[in-house]
Amino acid sequence: MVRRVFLSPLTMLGLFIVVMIVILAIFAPWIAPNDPLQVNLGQKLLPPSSEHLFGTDEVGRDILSRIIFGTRISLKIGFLVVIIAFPIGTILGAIAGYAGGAVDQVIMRITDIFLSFPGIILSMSIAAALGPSIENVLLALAVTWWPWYTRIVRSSVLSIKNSEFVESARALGASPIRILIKEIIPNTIGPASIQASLDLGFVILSAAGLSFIGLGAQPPSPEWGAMLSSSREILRDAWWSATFPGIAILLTVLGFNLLGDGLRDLLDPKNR
Amino acid sequence: MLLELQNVCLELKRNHKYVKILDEVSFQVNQGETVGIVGESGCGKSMTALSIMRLLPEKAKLKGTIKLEDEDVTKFSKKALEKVRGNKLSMIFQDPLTSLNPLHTVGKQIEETLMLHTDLTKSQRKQRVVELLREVGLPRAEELVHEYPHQLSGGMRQRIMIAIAMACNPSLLICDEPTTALDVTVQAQILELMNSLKKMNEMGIIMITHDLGVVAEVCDRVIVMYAGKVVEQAGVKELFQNPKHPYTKGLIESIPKLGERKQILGSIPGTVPAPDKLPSGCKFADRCSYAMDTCRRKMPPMVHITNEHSASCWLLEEEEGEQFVTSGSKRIETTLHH
Repeated sequence: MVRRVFLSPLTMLGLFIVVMIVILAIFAPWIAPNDPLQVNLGQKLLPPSSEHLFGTDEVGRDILSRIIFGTRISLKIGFLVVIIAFPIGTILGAIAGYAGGAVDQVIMRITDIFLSFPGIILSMSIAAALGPSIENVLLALAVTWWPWYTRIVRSSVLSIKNSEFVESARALGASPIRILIKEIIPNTIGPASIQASLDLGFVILSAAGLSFIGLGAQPPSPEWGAMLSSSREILRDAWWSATFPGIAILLTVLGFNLLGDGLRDLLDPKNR
Repeated sequence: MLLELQNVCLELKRNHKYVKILDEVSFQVNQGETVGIVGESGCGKSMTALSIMRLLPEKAKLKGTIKLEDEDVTKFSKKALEKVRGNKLSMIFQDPLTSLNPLHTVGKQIEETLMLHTDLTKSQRKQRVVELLREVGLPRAEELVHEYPHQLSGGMRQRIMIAIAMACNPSLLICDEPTTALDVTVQAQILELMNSLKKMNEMGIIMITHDLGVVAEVCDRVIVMYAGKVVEQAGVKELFQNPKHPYTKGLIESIPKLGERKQILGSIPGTVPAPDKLPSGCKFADRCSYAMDTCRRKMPPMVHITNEHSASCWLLEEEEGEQFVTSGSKRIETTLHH
């Protein structure tokens, strides 16, 4: 089973990208050639050269260093959002699916309300209401992301709760809560965690989007979306100032998606 | 008396209305006795088992009394039920492939029952699991503990299910078609195992099956059900040699016999009527070749032929069964030729 991950070149590429990003994030202070916040007006808007591989921005900061430090912010948002949304969604979905009836109706209708809004608009309004900061973006994204897990987990609970091993657990005298925790939830984690790995990329993309429109990270923070935003006015004269943060976002999202697809193929029972 | 069912009626909600699934089912199971419940699909035999376990769907209406060692199961609270299930009262399901959780090791799944119902310490439990695996005749028990269900064959998995059911030495074991999903040689081994476990533990067994071969192999007494009612019950020998109810006769006629090649194998015309479209008189009347006017109008009472043997048929009431028994099988065959 483990071998198949290594057989798929795309999954390997995804894994490689993700590992590289994680390494960059952990060792950013040692890898980055310059201080990401160091303003140097004498060196502003320099094109890529051997001294500044990705050039400098409008106040002379090294773009490469900023992108490297940016991985920290993006990964932090991605992982924290999923870590908050995943358990909330899973638990609510499991309760809805297992209890059924009125409980199910209430939970799922609330979920529907959240899902009936385009996610980005909902997070925009929450972030705007709370005020622009990375923490608020995190909260806004978590609020829009949990319903997806609720949906996925509920549907797999529905198919599992009538299976014979759940019936036999009941016949052995296990209480409903015990059955939920020991028999049902472990069997639903697979599909939900595939969704989580795919979501990491999208969460990072959405966070960059929110920062781009000024609702997320604020300058001078080296957040990729914020960097794109501040390079809008100088795009004609300094192509590098927008191109490299853009490529960073692209590669990160691509890496997580490839990895997520690979995981899905790996965990899909039909492929076993 | 280990288990006594008295006038158990069960109604389930189907398409927004209640339909009768079990109709005044009464029988007893003694300690150390195997009682078979036979009948076609949909006759209510599995529902009888689930009623005893109280594992019924939420909106089920259950009436009558089900006494397990003098306690009425129908009056048990949820907590009391959880305590009795898997402990005094155990059940084995039909399909050992799907009855085990694919994510847990075999050892963990057996241990679970011990965890629920005993105060054994972790090491004592581990020891008991290995003992149980040996008791059900599985080789290399110590290694098996760490294996997952998909690594085992069907027969081994059914042995694991039996080990789980036997973990707390139940006084009553309900088996719902335990050998249907297994091939014949494994079937025989499993039945043999159950016989020996019964002797060792002095428990009662309810064996639900549609296979009269299984009944002949392991049962002491047999209950024949049709459309939610008990139509005949007798000792196993008596039932095969001297069946009284036309339905029982039909069932026995329809077993192919080795070394005998009949043109037409006996069969019962038609199928079990749907529970919401039952006839008002005898439920079997529409498929019975002896049906009379009375049968269609009134439900026949239970007639006690001997102490052990009873059946519910108007023929027994009117003619004491004499004529009917001798000409019975011939008449079934002639009607089949038409």
